[in-house]
Amino acid sequence: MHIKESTFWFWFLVAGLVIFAFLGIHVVVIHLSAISGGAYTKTLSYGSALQRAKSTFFTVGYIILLAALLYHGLYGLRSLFIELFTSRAAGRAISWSLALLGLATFAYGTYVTIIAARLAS
Amino acid sequence: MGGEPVKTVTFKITRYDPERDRATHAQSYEVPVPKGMTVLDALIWIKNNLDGTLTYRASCRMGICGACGMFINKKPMLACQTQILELGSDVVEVAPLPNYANIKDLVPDLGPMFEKHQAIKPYLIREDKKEQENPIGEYLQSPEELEDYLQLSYCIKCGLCLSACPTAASDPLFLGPQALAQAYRYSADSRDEGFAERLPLIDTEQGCWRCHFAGTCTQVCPKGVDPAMAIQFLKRWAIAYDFGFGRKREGAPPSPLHPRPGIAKPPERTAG
Repeated sequence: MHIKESTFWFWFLVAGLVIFAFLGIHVVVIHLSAISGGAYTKTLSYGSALQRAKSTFFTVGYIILLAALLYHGLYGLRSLFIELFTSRAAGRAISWSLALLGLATFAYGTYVTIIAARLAS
Repeated sequence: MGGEPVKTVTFKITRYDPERDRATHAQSYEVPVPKGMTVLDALIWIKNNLDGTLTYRASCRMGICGACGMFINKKPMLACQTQILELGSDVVEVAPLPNYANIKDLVPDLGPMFEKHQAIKPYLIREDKKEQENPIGEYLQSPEELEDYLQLSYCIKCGLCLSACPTAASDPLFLGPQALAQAYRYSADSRDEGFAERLPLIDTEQGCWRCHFAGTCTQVCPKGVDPAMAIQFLKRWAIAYDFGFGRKREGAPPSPLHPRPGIAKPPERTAG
């Protein structure tokens, strides 16, 4: 199945927007706790972290953020590499290597997130 | 151009004879420069008076043929359009255009650019091939429709844009600003129905997605074409087409069978 470059680019833009949104939530919840309604120390307390780990919202959010970060970052890295190594064979090798790295990292990250959620409950 | 020389300018010109030289080298010439003298005038003067072996490519000497593109003081320019006194320097460096193989002295091999241009099908494409080969009337176009691509039609294929492009410098397979701008020029033409046919070449790693919007192509274009803008529009169209709401429009029908509102009726066909 051939995926067009425009499709990759479109999801690259979408991932960028997702990262912006989720990191925005992260900054507000964790670092701007005065705005989000908690003291700085309370947000970073063990209990508070445990609450977030248990929460379905945060668990799903972490997984989505992981996917977006991996896709956006690795696609950008691919763009850099395929311009340094310009042969078609090198391009294919770079694309597949980064895709496998991304999938493996996503699988492990999702596993860790779900395990953490289970342990926290 | 004429009159007494205003000053003497040193021209440091890159020389290369493939039959004798292993690498390029610079050679200097002193040229008396009157007001109005262009770099091309100086090269012609050098060839006539100092060194008959100097080789360069030129034709119209008025900025319309695109033949005399050169690297002048480290910037791609047309030699016939570059006034020496406006460079503001007593030393003018003239080299062949970068990003192209060098044939001899100041003559670049523009073949790859023309191949890429040819590859994007730089002509009107109609879905009804029979009608296109046997036209029954003109394809009418309003002034507003002409404005959609007019700026890009000014391209004279001089190659300066590809020479300035940092991506073309690293990747010879990149289609380049000239070909991509012309792909947009024809796809944006209301008479054209060929965007889908060009898309397999545009929507690739070596197509519009390799452009990172440096903008140097637009900066150096001597005719005011904006290839950088055209490539960004191509990216937008490629994504829109992917999701089914792209350029699937009918081209302007041939007149006079289908007169279009707002466009004056064309004159009747004469006999013959």
